[in-house]
Amino acid sequence: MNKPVQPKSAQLTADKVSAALSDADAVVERHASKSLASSALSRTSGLRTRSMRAMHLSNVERELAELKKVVAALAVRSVVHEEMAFDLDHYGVTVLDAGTAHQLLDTPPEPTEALQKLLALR
Amino acid sequence: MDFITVDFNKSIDRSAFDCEIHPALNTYIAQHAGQDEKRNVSRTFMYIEKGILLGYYALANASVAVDELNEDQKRRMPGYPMPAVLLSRLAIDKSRQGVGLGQRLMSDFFRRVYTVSKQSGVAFVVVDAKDQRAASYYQAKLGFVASTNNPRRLILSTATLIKGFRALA
Repeated sequence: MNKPVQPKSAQLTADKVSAALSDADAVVERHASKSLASSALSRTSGLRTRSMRAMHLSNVERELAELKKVVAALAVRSVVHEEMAFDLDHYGVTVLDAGTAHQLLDTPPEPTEALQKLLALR
Repeated sequence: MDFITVDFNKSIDRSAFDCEIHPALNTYIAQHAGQDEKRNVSRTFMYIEKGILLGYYALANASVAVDELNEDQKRRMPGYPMPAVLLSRLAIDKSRQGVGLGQRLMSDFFRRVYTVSKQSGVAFVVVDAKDQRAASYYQAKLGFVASTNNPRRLILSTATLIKGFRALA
């Protein structure tokens, strides 16, 4: 049950991972906000739909570059979240499927015969 | 609640304890259990006969988190990790293996969880199975289910345990 002391190098790595996640979150959130804003704009602008506008090549290139950043950020987030799941496991947090948890809490199964016998032991 | 185990006692010789199968369990009781007691990290309970340590188990508090609640479950279930008691270690000395002492220690552990559950919230009982054979026993015989993140970390609803003890009363 000894909780391992985090070595300095591990702490540095954790800090870097945390910074990378923060950067990735910022990129994804910025893109999501922009997408929401533009979809809201397209809803309110009636006939001024995006498809009707001829996009300049430089705009297309800029959007493509932005999308590449978003894809890279999503990849970083995915890796970091996997790492975090591993850490949770390592430090003893138990994760249970939500459906099973719900069933165990609200409609708990009867003890099995073997469990019932075990409970009676002294 | 009559327990067959006693609280961890550092004056008992632990260096001779040998469960034969998992050396880490021998090392734990000989070298680390005392520190965990002192730091309140876990509690170890010993089964002793004529001053000789023949078995032990260690337990600690733990949390069970749920993954990806759907909208319906979000309304019905806590969105935060739920309290559990973890059986982190259980070992029997090789001189007393195969005579049912492991089962009696498990029973002792369950009685402790039942006692704790009357004073503080315990939604689940969690065990760490040391190998696949133990994991199969917990699942097939005792009704534990596997956690999502670790197939050898197994979970039982405390409510099932309480039903079992009430049926004995």
